[in-house]
Amino acid sequence: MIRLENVSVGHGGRAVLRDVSFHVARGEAVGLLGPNGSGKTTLLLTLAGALPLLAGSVTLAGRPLSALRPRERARLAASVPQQAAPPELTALSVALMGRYAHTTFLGGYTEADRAKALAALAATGCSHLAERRADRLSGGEWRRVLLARALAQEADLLLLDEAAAGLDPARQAETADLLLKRNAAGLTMLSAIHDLNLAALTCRRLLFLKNGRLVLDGTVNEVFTEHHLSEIYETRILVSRHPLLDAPQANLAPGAPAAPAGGPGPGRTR
Amino acid sequence: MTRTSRTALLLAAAGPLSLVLACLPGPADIPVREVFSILASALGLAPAPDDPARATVVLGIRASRAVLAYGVGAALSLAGVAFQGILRNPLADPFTLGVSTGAAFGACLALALGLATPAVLPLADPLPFFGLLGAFLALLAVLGLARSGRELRRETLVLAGVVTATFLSACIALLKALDESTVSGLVFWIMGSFQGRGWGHVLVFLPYLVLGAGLILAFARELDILSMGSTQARLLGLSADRARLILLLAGSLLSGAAVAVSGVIGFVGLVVPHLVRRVQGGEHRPLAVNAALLGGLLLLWSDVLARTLLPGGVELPVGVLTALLGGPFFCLLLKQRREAS
Repeated sequence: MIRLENVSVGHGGRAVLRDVSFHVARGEAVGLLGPNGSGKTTLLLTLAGALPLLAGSVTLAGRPLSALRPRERARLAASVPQQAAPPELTALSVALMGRYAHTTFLGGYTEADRAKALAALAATGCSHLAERRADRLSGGEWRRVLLARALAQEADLLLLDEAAAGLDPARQAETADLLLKRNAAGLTMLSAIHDLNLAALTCRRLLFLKNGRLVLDGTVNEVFTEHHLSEIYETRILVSRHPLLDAPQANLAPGAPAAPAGGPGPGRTR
Repeated sequence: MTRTSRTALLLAAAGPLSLVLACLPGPADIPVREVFSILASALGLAPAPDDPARATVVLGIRASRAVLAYGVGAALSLAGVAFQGILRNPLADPFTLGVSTGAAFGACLALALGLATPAVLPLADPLPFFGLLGAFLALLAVLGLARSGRELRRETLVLAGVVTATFLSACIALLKALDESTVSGLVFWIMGSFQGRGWGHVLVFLPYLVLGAGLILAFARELDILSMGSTQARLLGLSADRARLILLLAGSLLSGAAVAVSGVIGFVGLVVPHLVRRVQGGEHRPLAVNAALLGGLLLLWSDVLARTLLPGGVELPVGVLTALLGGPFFCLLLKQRREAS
């Protein structure tokens, strides 16, 4: 579904991503992790065609990104951006924008488009917000409207940038649940997440970026270890099992005595 | 029926009504009944009027002027909707961006160089074309001036617009000073007016209004998306640059033609979209329709006021009136925005 070969991307002459290569197969749920400023958002914007490449190549569904027309690209890959200022439009109008890629030049939104936008709002629990102005929603409500917009796009690939950040625990669980269901139904997902535990619960495979380079790539069980996490984030992180689900969970230990000798500490990663 | 379309219907109905009422006042004292019968006969609903001189006053002077004011008000408001949407700047309008003054300069230059003859552009009066050219060039200059790095700051944009407008006003004054025969027309270009405008001007102006309004309505969805910013537009599959260029052209088309027939009339394109947005939100298709209808009404009645306010048949340029109303409104908007951010 996604293939990156030696991709470098930069803003204003400075390279933010350097020599990144990986492949995501159709139907995978991949988490994109790494410290602040490691290039996660840049990578997602690049895949969505919003940033130009400095070097390397990107293919989406077997076609070079540069050869795709804007509408085609948006039909292949939908994005939930991390930062988007809410406009003076209703939530329904925003969700309808997801249908733009499916309309023709000068052809307006159809009744079917409206129905799909409303269904997407319902899926993210935002039906009651449809006629409300986006710039008057709470931060969490706005995040869910943006998710609805991406779902209405009906693309095979969903690029999520902190889609569940800023939501309360119940909404976070609902959102994760929704994404797991969509993934089980065949949707490919690449999701930048800061919350390590949420990543371990919603993704099968994790990619770690650090300083613009891909430093680690593997299944959750392979890479979600005290050794790797502590080194990448440069702080002590302990790993335990989730009490109910078969997934590792990370625990920070602020204020605890320093790690005993021989315990988890900096080690070697790829 | 939604509230928005009810508003549109109400505004649309107020249009013809206002056009008729605007034919009533004037320095020539014509009874109300006679004005009505003259208008009815013009529409083929009544026999020809007895007094052809009075018919000329009502149809040739008052009615044509009212129609032109209505159309120019609609055009300026539509241009305001387009500029505010693309630039994501509530302070943008043809006047504050310097686009109107650019159009005035383009038209003046064409007149001074003797280019405004039918030989240059057959089939139509070329003046609006040169207005459009001036408007678009001024717009590009202002955007270039205001763009520092990649960011386009709100206040910087308006500052660049005002500087450009002031500079071009001086150029107009200079042109007029060099060309003594037309000095009297200076005030017309800098403080717009509908004095002496007739059906000929309506005909010249109409194609530009239709084309500009059509483009903005056709690209209303794109305006909605552009109001979320360029990055969002790309994520959604919109070629932001192309859509923006078409809409900037449509806005220049409308303001250029408006200025060519009526001079620089400020703040209509600022106040009207803002009022409509307050009532019905920012969705651009209904916003464009309602702003055009309301803008027409506003300028039509401003013009009626401008020609009846002073005693003894002396006229105030309508641009003076709109600036008197719009200036304080602009300050209010500026202050509100500052507090919000």
